[in-house]
Amino acid sequence: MAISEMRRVAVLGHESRIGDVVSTLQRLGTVEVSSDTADPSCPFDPAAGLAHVDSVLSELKYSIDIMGRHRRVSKTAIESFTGYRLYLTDDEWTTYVQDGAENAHRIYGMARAVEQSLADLAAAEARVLTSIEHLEPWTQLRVPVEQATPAKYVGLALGTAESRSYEAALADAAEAVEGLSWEVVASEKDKVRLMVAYPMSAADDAIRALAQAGFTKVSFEQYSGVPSDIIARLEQEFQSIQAQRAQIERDIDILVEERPRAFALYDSFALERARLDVTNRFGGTERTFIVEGWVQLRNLQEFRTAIEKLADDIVVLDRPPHDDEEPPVELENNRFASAFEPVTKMMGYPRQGSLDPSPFLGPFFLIFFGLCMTDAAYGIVIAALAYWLIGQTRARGMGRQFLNLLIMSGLATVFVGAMLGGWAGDLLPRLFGWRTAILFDPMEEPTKFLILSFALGVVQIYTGIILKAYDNIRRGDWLSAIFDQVFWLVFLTSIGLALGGRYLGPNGPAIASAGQKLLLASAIGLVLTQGRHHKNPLMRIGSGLLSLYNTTGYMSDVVSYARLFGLGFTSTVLASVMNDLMLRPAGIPVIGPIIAMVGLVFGHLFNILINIIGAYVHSSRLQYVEFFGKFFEAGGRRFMPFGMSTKYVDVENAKGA
Amino acid sequence: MEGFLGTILGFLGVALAIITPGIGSSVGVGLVGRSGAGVITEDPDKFGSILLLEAIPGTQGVYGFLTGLMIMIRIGALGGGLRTLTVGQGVLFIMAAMPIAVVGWVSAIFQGRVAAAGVGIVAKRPEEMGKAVILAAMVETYAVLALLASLLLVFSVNV
Repeated sequence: MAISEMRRVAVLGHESRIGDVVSTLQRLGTVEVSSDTADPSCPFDPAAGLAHVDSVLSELKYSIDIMGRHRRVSKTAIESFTGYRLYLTDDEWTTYVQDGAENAHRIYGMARAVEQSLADLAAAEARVLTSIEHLEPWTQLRVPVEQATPAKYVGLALGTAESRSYEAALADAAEAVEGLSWEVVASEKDKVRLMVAYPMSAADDAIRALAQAGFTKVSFEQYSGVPSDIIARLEQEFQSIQAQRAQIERDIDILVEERPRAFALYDSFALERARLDVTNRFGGTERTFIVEGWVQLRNLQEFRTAIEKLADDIVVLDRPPHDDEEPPVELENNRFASAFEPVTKMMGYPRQGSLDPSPFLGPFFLIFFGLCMTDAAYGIVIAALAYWLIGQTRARGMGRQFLNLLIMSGLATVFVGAMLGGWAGDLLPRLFGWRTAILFDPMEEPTKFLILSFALGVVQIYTGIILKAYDNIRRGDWLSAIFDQVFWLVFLTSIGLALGGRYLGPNGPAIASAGQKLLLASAIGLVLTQGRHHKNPLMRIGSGLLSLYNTTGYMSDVVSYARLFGLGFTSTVLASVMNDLMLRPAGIPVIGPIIAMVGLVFGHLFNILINIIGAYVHSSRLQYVEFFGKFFEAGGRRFMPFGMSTKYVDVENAKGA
Repeated sequence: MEGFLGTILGFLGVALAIITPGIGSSVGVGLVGRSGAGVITEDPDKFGSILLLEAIPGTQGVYGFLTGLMIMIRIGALGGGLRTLTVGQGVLFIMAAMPIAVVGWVSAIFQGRVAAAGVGIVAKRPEEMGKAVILAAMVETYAVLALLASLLLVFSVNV
């Protein structure tokens, strides 16, 4: 129930055992291999292996990308939020990763072939379509296009000219060059398509005259035959391209069947890459290796057994951290408290040797969450949903802890909702006239709700100060605990007594005056001690006086808990409005109750949706700013053990590699 | 008209409470949505995280709506038995709506900016998304306080 105790371990052995040791380290996933002792002259240079693995990985990535581009991975609705995972059994995994490199290369070959054929087809299709477009206007031409060239006696040419002016211009040209004639193949709005003929004896003159007449030659060099025949051929070709495309679609289907294997292979090679990477941090001599790292004390025995089982000539050493070492931080709590670790981790890891706030924030977080939702029915929905998600997502680690947190928050909401009488808002009182509130009804007595929020704030702030005092005492710093925490606790309490004491029954005035005396005493105590880090006595007093100003900080901390009321009341009122609106059509015969039921379900789901984010975020924020501010010491380095982190695949049962 | 002026002012209070925080939330949610769409283009898997960030500046609109609803309940606009308010009561409802009307409006826009900047965190370091949410939530404090003030004021008006 705290920050996990770390041990420094070292494994030594013969160089031939490296592979086994690294695999075991990865399978266990409990050791952070730390690089600070890495030997720069590491004799086990994995560069060659890395190059091979990287090339296989890049082939697999290419293949997976190609598959993804043509056939999307089918995800469930949940997976579109959490990301896709492929779940394999041990056996499936082993089958998939057999002959890894060959299979990867085979899949890569298939993917490449698909891409290549698709590119070829696209190019062919573009060529066919351009040609058809090019030839389309010439379909009336009955002459094979390859004959439209200068021949022995007569030159033939195909080309275009402007519709408005070509007749006069060509008539002029025909006058200049005897024997020049033309025929209109097709006539459009702007231009006409012509075939012209001229005697080869005056070819140069004819070409010049034609150019002057605005005739532009069109080339059909790459074609042969009558245009309409060419187009028919091209259209056939187009059909065949479409047929081939259908064939490629089938090829893609076959390729995509390999997707699970590609995922498994990718992960298996990524794991191998991680193993090679970590080997790079091993130190050693020509024949021996040493690897150092951090392990949680609770995992030490398991680790030692697993490694020593590999061979007789492997040695595992362990020792507590030295004073000048800063071990990484991992939190270790029982099942209940570990659910709150995600809340702490979102803020950051506590400094090594300080307090883990997770178990302390737990009860507050739950009550705050419950107050923000303020509805037992909503709590049931949230807890049930989280429970269902645990089964659906097969979440582990942090995700699982988060869902556990959500279940507990849901249950806490049920409790708070029952206390304040919220069952789908005021549905029960509306329908049956029941009074459901056990403690008080927030709609009738909103100020009580507000006071409850402030009171919880005071409790949490006091808890934070006491935790700091505990932390100081734990380190043997009794003076700080008394001056910085006890004095403040007394001071803050006496402010409360002095101001509110007279409302406390018949002895009120006496309590109030005692409070005033206590206030004065503790204020003097604070003025005398809060500046103790200054040498100059005047500075000490000045700094002490100034420290009383911190009271405003505590005040604003308490006021900040008003958000519990704000959010809780919002949820209550919106639920009540939903009930009011949705129950109105209930009087309509037959369909009325159905409309009301559907409306109520959707209305309340909507209310849960808009409130749950705020409930989570603000319950967290109160921990981070108001609670952690009193004692939390940030700056821990996160413990990152070397293990099986995979991108696509989760192997169920045991972890295989 | 003379006897009706108070009720008109009461309605103005409702309108104010709902309109301006609604505007603010629209702007805020819009800001986050625009920057979020860019991230989703690159990585559609981040949709869930982006959606969460986008929802954050939407609460001010809800707070305004809630305040408006409370005034409606107080003046009987929901149940069908609309009360006739004096001019003084009408003005009081307007004043009661002011905190959330102004703070809800402004804070939603600023919260939208913080959340839109948080989209960058989701894009580059998705594991730190919680911090982006908390940063945005810090702005919300003042909207909650304004809501609180408005609600307490709405309750305090005698009708």
